[in-house]
Amino acid sequence: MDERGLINKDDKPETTKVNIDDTVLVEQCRRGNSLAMERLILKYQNRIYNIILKMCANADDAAELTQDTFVKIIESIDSFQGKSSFYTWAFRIAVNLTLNYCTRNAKFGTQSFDSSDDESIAQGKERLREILADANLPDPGTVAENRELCEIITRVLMMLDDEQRAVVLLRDVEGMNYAQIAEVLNVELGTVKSRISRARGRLKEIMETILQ
Amino acid sequence: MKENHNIDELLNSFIDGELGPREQTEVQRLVANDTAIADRLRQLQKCRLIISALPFDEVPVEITHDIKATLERKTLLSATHSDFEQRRGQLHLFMRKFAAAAAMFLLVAILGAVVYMIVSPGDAGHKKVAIEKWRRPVDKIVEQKSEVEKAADNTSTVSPQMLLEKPVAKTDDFTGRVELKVRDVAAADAFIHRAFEDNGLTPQSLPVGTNHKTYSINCSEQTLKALLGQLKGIWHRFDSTRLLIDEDTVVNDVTAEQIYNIAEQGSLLEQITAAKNFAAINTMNQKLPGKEVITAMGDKQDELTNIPKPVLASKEKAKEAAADENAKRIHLTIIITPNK
Repeated sequence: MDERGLINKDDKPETTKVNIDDTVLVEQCRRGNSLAMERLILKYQNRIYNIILKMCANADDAAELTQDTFVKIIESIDSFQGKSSFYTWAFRIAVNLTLNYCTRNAKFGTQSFDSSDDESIAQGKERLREILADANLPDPGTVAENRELCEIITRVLMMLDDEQRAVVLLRDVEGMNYAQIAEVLNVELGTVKSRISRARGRLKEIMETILQ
Repeated sequence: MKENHNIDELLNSFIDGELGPREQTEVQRLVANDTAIADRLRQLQKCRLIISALPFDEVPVEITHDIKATLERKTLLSATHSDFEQRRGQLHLFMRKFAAAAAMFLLVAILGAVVYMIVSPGDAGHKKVAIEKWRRPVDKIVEQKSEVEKAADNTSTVSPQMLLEKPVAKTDDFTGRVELKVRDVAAADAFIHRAFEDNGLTPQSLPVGTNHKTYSINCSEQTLKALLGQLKGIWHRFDSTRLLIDEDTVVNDVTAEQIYNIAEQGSLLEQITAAKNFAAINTMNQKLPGKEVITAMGDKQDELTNIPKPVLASKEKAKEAAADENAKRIHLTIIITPNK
């Protein structure tokens, strides 16, 4: 972690390397090479599934949406013109499918902490309060190991607007830069900056609210 | 409020590494000099860390298989649909080709007909007469039962007087068609017309065409003999002569004498036999130089040469008329066509 609080994760995409490999794989896939198609699926399925799951918070639905995403990718791979990278094109399909799903199932916004305020939630809240009160930045490993805290954070995320949740996840979970996020969401770069700023501000407000 | 939002955007961009070196330095200086901004930066960093620290969820292992299965199923369905569409397309294409070919054939046929109408000879329409299958008129040679035979049919008893009065059986009528080709139809027509009038015949001119002349005569054997005797004078001017007794019996290069000889035969069978004999002779005559066969026929060829015109007294005429009622009749059609 550097002075800006950035985390250097090994599983974050290395854009240049991914694009070169993807170009070859996409071309082979267009020619009907099933092995290339399988490699593309294996390469991106975990990352796409992870974003979808954190957007919809339902493992079964996330699996189904991931499957739909890859089917659509393969079906429409001939229409991929290469103006953007395959990586952002694939994520655009995934995010659009998931946003449509969220619109159809608009139950997440109404999710409340009061109805399930059991002991684990209380523990999660307590841990979150400690983190926010601490003057130092938290250790990411410690956060990830705390199941109750992760549950709380997931619920906080679900209280964001769909578009704010998407932009935060693409940045903080998938590790995309603003330009890539703009490509995925098909919006201007300034819109991405604004949405990220508002989403993080909103996250802080929600966390403070649930801890009161 | 707007200023705070702008600062938040700047701080978030700083956290995410989206600022240039100069902006980054400015933010660092701003944070160092303003504790409120430093606190805000720390809060945003915590938010970011908390979200990014969420555990990475592994995809279910069966999802790859499910994706492939779905794709295969869709490909099969698509292929089936594609085959159907292809077959439908082929059928449609075939129908279009067939319709185009039919239209072309129709067009060619119409054009051909138009061209034929334009370039065909003027008397093309009359050739129909020549190619028409000529059928022998219904014979009147059905065996006529005599009064005695009729009586015998009605009653079993025949009187001796009836047997004594039994007439001689009537000979068969002759029916035929003579086709003559000549260069000057008009002259030939005038001569034939005059010959008819000289022999007391009123020819029935049939309207078969402007260039054809067709006559139908019904006369006695003697009248035919006189008529042919007169026509013999111009017979050599005919380029082609042909006699048809029925569809199968045709005598090419027939002469006036041969016509008479055939017509005077007693029965149809004899007429046909004679016609076939003459046909064979004429064919041989055409193939052999010098007309040896004709020469060998002897003086019978000149049978018509000295045919006297019948000059009958009024009494004799009456007798002749009565005799003619039971006499053999000649039904002859004469067609004169131009030889081009």
